[in-house]
Amino acid sequence: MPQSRAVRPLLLVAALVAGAIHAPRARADTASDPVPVLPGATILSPGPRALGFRDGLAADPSTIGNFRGLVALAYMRGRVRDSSGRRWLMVNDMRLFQGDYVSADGIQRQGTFAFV
Amino acid sequence: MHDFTGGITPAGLVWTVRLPGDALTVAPRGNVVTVDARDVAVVDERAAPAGKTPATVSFQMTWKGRGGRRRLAAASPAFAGLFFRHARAQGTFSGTEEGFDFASAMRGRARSTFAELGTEQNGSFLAAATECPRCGALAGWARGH
Repeated sequence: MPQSRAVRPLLLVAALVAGAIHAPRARADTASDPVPVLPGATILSPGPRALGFRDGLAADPSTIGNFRGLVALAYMRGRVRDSSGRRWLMVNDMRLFQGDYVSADGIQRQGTFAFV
Repeated sequence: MHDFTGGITPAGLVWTVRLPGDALTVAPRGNVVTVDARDVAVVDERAAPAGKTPATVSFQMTWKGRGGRRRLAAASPAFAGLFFRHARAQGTFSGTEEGFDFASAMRGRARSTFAELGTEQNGSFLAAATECPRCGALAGWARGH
């Protein structure tokens, strides 16, 4: 089932979360933009059910519909520091897509995209 | 807490931003993928104090796949793909906005807790491959098509 995003840190005292919260916000469309897989600004989060990913492994990691090509997905954790030296926990869902897609104007195109 | 994302288009495309084609390097066998993305425009949407701030992020990541490929597919939403049985990723990240910036710790490459690497098709491409399995794009992409 579609869900907003399944990667959620268990403990965040001071956290830098690159995209772990689903919140509508608008960005300008262009005719050459890809179309989404799912309506309603939702995505799938594939992953092992044993780790809490209710979509399971058989879920499309692509956010781009009418797509054919390479897909890379990674749920990342790491430490970062800000300019004052303060440490932050970073949790992010990063994905790459490279290949053919049919854009909103119906034209088949090629492109490289990152899910950030 | 900071929340850096690529935004959502009015059409509903979630957090998906265009990269230059040469930002990605793919090994001939498709088992190693690297990305070097610099100054990608994003928005930092903070919960407290609430606000949206234009920002940029940079990241250098490497995915590695091994163990052969397996087919993963679903009916709704429909997709089909060939993914390495085991994949992992690591990388470094940095970002900046007015009044705040961050970078991966010197000895702190971020690592994946789960990763996937493969090729897939969905939507109209999946329908075309179903109609003509021998023309399906997956094998072509696996060869570097």
